[in-house]
Amino acid sequence: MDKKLKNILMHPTAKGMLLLTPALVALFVFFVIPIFRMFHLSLFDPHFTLKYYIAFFQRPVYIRVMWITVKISLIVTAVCLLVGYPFALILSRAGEKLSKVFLVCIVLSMCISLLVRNFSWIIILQRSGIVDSFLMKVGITHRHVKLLHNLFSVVVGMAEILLPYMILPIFSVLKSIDPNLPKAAQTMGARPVQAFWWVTFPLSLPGVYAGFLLVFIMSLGYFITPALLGGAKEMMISNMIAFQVQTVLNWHFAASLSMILLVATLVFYTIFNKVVGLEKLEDLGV
Amino acid sequence: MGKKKISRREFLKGTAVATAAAAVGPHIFVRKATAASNKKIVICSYGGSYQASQRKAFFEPFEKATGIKVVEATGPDLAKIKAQVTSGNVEWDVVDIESRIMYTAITENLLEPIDTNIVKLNTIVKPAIHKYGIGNIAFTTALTYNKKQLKKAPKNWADFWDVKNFPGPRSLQDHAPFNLEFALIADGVNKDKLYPLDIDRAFKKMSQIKGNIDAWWESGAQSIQQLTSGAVVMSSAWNGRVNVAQSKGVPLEIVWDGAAYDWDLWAVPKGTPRKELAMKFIQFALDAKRQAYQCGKLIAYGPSNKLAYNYIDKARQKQLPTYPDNLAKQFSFNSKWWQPRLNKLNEKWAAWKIS
Repeated sequence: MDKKLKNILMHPTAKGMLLLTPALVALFVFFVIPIFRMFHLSLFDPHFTLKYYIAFFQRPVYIRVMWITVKISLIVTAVCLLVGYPFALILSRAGEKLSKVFLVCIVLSMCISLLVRNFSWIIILQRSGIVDSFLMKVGITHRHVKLLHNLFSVVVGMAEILLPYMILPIFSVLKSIDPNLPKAAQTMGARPVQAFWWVTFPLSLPGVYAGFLLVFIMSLGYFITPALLGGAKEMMISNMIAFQVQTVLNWHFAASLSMILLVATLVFYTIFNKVVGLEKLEDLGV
Repeated sequence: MGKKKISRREFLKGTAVATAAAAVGPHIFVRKATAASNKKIVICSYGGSYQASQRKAFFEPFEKATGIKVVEATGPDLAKIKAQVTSGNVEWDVVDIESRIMYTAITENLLEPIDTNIVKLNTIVKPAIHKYGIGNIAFTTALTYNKKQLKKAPKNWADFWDVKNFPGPRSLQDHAPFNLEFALIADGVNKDKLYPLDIDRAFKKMSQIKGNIDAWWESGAQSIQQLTSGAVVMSSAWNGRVNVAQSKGVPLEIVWDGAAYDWDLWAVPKGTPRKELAMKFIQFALDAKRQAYQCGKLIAYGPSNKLAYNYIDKARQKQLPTYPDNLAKQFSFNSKWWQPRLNKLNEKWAAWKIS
């Protein structure tokens, strides 16, 4: 091999680039090109037109679906945070062995097919299902309780699936906090609760932000759970896109809806970045 | 060849080739697949007990008779047919589709005309014959209820809307066709004077029942599952599937009054490399005895071959959508009226649902 090329290739940056190549090529072929084609599809029919974007803003139903999407995503994120934070906290303070077992369980849960998990929720929540018949047997209620095909079942189903994405970043940040810090606060006279709120919690915020962002953005594009567990009113933007692709066969409009979802996601990301500053997360290695 | 460390240049070359291969790979693969001999035929149908009946009556006998393997697919959506035809990569050689899907597929230019040199039509009933598809069975979409869940038996669509006398959650198919007709019948419109549909009146009537529709079903199997499990007390459902569930002991009952009958058709997506074979399969599946076996023994749909009735016993004929007494109570679903309005009304449907 000639020396010049060898030198170039041995340069640390070049080496890094070389290792990145397969991933970049895959991203380009399977991500960038399809998105570009979708963008093209949303704007050309067959000549340049904005009518598919105008249609989105003209008919209130699409704005409504967008709003439902954001609303459900926010609720799911809040539920994940409320359930995930205490879990991560306990996990971070548990013994090495126990926390490992739990972490493996969390990761394993991500390997179970989404369909299986959604259908399990149908069985649990349906009329005369486990929860309904339990409530009636115990006597809490004498009528069937409607637990399925509404906002409740969608939030439960999505939160259950997205919970790991909240727990893992919070856990890793909590784990990296020097245990001496809350201890020091307590020696200075803080009660354990105070030590948590004044020391541990603020230090764990980068994990909370990361979890929040991950869960929220994944929720925005959610499809299968609202389709299976939702009722008439839980139509999210992905369901609307699927409806346009499969039933109405209006692929141009489906493409423009997809681009709008993509742009909305980027806008949320940018706002979040401005407010919180995601560079901080990178410093912490999240 | 001895072990040799791969030089960086070779590695680079290798990656370049690999990426190029990744980029063009699918095309090469497709070529190969389509060039393969006529050893198989891919047929897409609606799944569940319906497709199971087709497997027994047509697919397996066809494999035996010809030695050609039948590969099955499920869920013949228009979107998939369109994607296959427009990308020039047609995977499905034969599809079983409902009439309104066929009409849309025709306007989108997605189907091959039926080759009448191969497919013989002299004993096929008239409404089943089209240029781009041949009726396979007549099916009914009917009000169906679970006897165990209701004290009184509903008699018609007006009872479906009557939540006071017939309490309990209900289900309907998640789209506008059929449902708007049922709503109008419930509202007192004569079943023979439905078309052109009074859209506003239909949606108004639909709004009355919306809060009692627990789930909107998307697949035929789902409607039966909900009725069987007691998740809903009444639902619209396809009569053949109800019949199969009944034969397994599920206490379901069909209300023929105000039900809709329509055709399922065999059609061939445009550009399939196995067009001739597809036509041969259709001819094979239209055979009177085979249809009689499917409709007489496996699932209670109405065969399109007139001669098939000669091989179905009288008691069974009474369960078929095409039995004169049943036919008289139903209306014929008008796909031709729906086709040009389908997209607009389905969009309206989606907007109505979330409003």
